[in-house]
Amino acid sequence: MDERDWQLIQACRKGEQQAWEELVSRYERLVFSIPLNFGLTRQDAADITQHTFIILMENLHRLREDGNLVAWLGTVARRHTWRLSERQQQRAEEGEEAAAALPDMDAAERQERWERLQWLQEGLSRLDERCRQLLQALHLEAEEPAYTEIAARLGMAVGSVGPTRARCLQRLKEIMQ
Amino acid sequence: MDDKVSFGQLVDWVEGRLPAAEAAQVAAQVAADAGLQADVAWLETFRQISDRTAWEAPPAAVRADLSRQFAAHAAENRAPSWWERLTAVLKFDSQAQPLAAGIRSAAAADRQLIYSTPYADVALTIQERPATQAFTVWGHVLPTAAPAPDIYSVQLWQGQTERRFTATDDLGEFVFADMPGGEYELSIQHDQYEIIVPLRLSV
Repeated sequence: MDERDWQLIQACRKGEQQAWEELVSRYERLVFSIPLNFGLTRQDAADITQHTFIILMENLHRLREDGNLVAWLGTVARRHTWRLSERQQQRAEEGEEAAAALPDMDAAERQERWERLQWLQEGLSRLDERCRQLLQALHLEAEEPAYTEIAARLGMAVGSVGPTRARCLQRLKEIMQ
Repeated sequence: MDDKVSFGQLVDWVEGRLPAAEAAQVAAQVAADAGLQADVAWLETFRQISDRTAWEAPPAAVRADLSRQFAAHAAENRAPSWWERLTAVLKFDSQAQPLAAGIRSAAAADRQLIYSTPYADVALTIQERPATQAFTVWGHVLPTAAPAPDIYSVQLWQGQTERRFTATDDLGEFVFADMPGGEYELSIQHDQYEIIVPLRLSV
């Protein structure tokens, strides 16, 4: 397990609120994005995110240092995503509600989507906060904001957004290779 | 443009942001330089992943609610003092059954094991795949105490190393496929107890 994750888990076991906030912050995008990438709505994704972190809370004292927290969270979130998808599909087939627009996805496609999320989690988590926020804003938000908006949001000069982005991408490439 | 192309120029070139003349110069250098080609390939992969992947933070209300729930959880001091760790006892092993007893699994290729604890039984079916020298383990958690938990998390340990993790489905079932032989320990967890099942995979 990542050294910082293990420190946070140990602190959470002692009831330290700040540690919990940091743990959630480190993985909330990963967990929320799993149902989104498998065709569920933002409301469903919010419910699954909440459920997944509550299960984590209940299991804090069982996690071990050699465990893999990303895999653990990913498995719980994906499991609940499949279950909700299946239930929605069943309800749609029974005519209880309009047919859900869930993508028909085979196991290989599911695995590929999960690997993309893991790749992003691993790479972005190893960048500094500024780079992470910048790349998320420029490349991963649903609607790409203007440089002026990003500069205002991150407290940087508009002219430095482009060069900083290039440095951050280069750093990410080095990390992932 | 005599200097080598910078990474920033490559980023702009891949995204089509360069003026035509500069783009042509970059293209010429890329065509002649394997290192630049590798950089371009990585940038295009990153762009494909970022274009095809939603990567969003949940609504602020979710985080706020999780904060409140953790505060309540910590206040209740829900330490594992009431939490039990149980080592399951082997109750049935198909390989230990005499063939004359007529037990189906005795003659079958799959090995069946049933472990018992006060809270749940665990049925395992182990199938060896000789072609790959790997094993598939199907598990079924059968709670004996009501109400049955919604879900169990299942970890597979080898020594102090977690090899696999999964969760049971609606029927309490789980599977680990393509497992190499060896000595393992299954940890099946519920809010109030953990069941430990020793597992040996060998020919």
